[in-house]
Amino acid sequence: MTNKTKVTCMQDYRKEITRLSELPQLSPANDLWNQIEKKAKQQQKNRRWSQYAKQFTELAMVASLLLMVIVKVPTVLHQQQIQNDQLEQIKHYSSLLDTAWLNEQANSQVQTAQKAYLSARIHDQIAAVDNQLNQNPKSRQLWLTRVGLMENLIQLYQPPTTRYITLL
Amino acid sequence: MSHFFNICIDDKTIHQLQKGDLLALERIYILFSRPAYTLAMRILNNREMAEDVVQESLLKAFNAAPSYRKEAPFAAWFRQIVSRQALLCLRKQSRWTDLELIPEIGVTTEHAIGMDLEHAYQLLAPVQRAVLWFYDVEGYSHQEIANLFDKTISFSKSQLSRARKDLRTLLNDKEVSYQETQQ
Repeated sequence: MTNKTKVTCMQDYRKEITRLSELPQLSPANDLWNQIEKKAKQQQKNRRWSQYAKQFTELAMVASLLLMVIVKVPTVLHQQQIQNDQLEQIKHYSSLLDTAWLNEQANSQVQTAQKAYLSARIHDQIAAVDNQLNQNPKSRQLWLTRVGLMENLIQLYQPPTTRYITLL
Repeated sequence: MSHFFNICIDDKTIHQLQKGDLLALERIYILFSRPAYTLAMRILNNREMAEDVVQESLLKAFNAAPSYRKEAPFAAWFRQIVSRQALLCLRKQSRWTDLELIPEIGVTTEHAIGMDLEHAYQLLAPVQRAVLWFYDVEGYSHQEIANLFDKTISFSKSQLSRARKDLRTLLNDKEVSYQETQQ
């Protein structure tokens, strides 16, 4: 063997490799099918259960979303209704103040320059608020501002005693 | 690919397997249990572990069948699963570095007397045995072997070279010993 050339060694080796691939096929000592079938069935069962669990989770998520919508929507609607009612009340009060102011204006006269000046300023402010209300008629804050200004205006023309009595 | 795995499977069986049909799995078992067991035995050299590998490989193939895209023949696809499973089993036994060590390689004439090729092959270090079988018998490329072992191509080449050298040494010892006994 030692005198053989490298090529001969390789040829010998190739022969051995060919023999290696020609080694007989081996068979398992036991029939493995029963165990494989049992495990495969178990895996299928597990997979089915995990699919059910996944579907159940998805359903639960959808149900909880629906529940949230069902509970939340009426609450939101109810709150909106309350806000609308309040706004209507403020508007109504504002129109009452407008009427009162018109009555006041018909019955009284400006007594001092200072009152005239204050009245003009309040009128300007009311006009500005009215202008904003034209663009945003549902603004509760603007309506409250307008009511406040109207009250100031009416109080300006009422004698101190009347004001005192009104307050009482 | 070794002639053991040179098996054709009809599309119908593959389709049924992909649908989770156990009869198709049984057919695969009948056709492939022996080649798979032979490959596992050549790598692991242990009957029980080889049987486990066959079982696990078939179950893996059953589970992964829906993802089989017919890019390669079914036999090659399944052989890849068996190879990976066998190496996984080998790795569980010990670390790669330990598996690369030769367990008392038969340099002694006592070991070599009467040693045939199969015996000599079994005496190789586990990793060398696997690389030699994958490359020379199964026809895997160095790149494919490197991927299987999660190592570099040079690892595959060096292991193959060592395996061939050791196998030759074992077989030469046998020849020398035989001549000595004849004299």
